[in-house]
Amino acid sequence: MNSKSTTHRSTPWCRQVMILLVTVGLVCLLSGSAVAQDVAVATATATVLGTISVSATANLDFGQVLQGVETATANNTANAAVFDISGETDKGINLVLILPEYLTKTDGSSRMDIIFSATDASVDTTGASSPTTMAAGKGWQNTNPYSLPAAAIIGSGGTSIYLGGSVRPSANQPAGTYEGDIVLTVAYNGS
Amino acid sequence: MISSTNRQSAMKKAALVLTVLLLGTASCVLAANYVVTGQATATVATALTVTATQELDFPLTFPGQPSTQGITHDDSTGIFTIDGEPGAKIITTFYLPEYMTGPGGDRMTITFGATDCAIDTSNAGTPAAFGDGWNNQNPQDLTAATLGADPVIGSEAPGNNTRIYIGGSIYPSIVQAAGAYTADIVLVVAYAAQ
Repeated sequence: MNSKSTTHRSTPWCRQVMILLVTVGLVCLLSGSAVAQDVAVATATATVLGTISVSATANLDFGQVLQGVETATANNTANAAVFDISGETDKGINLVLILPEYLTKTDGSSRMDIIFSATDASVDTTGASSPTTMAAGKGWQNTNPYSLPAAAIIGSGGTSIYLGGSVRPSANQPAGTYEGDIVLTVAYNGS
Repeated sequence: MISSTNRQSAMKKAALVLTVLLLGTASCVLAANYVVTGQATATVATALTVTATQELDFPLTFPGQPSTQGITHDDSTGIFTIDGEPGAKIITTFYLPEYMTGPGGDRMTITFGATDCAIDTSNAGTPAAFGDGWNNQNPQDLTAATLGADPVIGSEAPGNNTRIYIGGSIYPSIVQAAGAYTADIVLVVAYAAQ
């Protein structure tokens, strides 16, 4: 009974010794392999451009309009909408305007048509931010707001977009204040 | 051998990792676009209203005897009152009848002369005391070309209005049926380009 017990205990001891030896051997083998390898380290680099900032600094203001009388606001007047864009100078940007088809009376009870022609926008790359001083040579004058220039860039002083349009009140348009959202999306285009 | 439970657990983890990666990718794309919202605003001015304040009322007449009603009678000259945005230019157009209809459908001729209309923009005038504007005008031609300018709504004060006075003439025949005769006088008013 005792001898069996002794034999039973000695077997794991032997295995432990063998496992230890094998492990040491493998470590030596692997460390020898590591010495034989060559290692090179490359660096991944990237520069993130200055963050774009875009703000709506003036609303497109038609002021007081009369029933049945189409009223236009030009993009070179003080009542034009102004969007200012800043970011990395001389980098190309994609500009997309999402324009409303109608203005809504503030109490939601009525709509009034608003239209934008193919010459109702200007893109000023001098960043002057003043529609009244916009002129040829300062970017794109009287361009299509539905398809703003693909070559637009952020000028050294920023870039501004000026937007005009027209409203068409019906002959029985209810009196009151009407509003509509104009959404500008700006993104770098990689150029 | 991987049990079924472990396989499901591994698949769930993989799906979770994939979802996180996709969300990360999507947020990167969104972050590259910068959006701002501006507004277009407009205020529709005071609604235009026109009211037939007083009928053009001809005095009693006899068969075969023409009768004229002038534009200076407070109680019988036709009066239209126009309210709207003070000072706003308007366009006025009359649609005038050629005859009046009476008993049994009998007709009686009515005409309007070249001085049978007045546009009073004073807000204080009456047919008998014309205030300011255009007096003795042709109701068939109230265009800016004829008047020299578009008429306006009253003076530059809220609540003011413009009044149009109209007269005319009737020509009963010698066999004109006795009775009351009526006809519509239509005045259309709209805002003009300012």
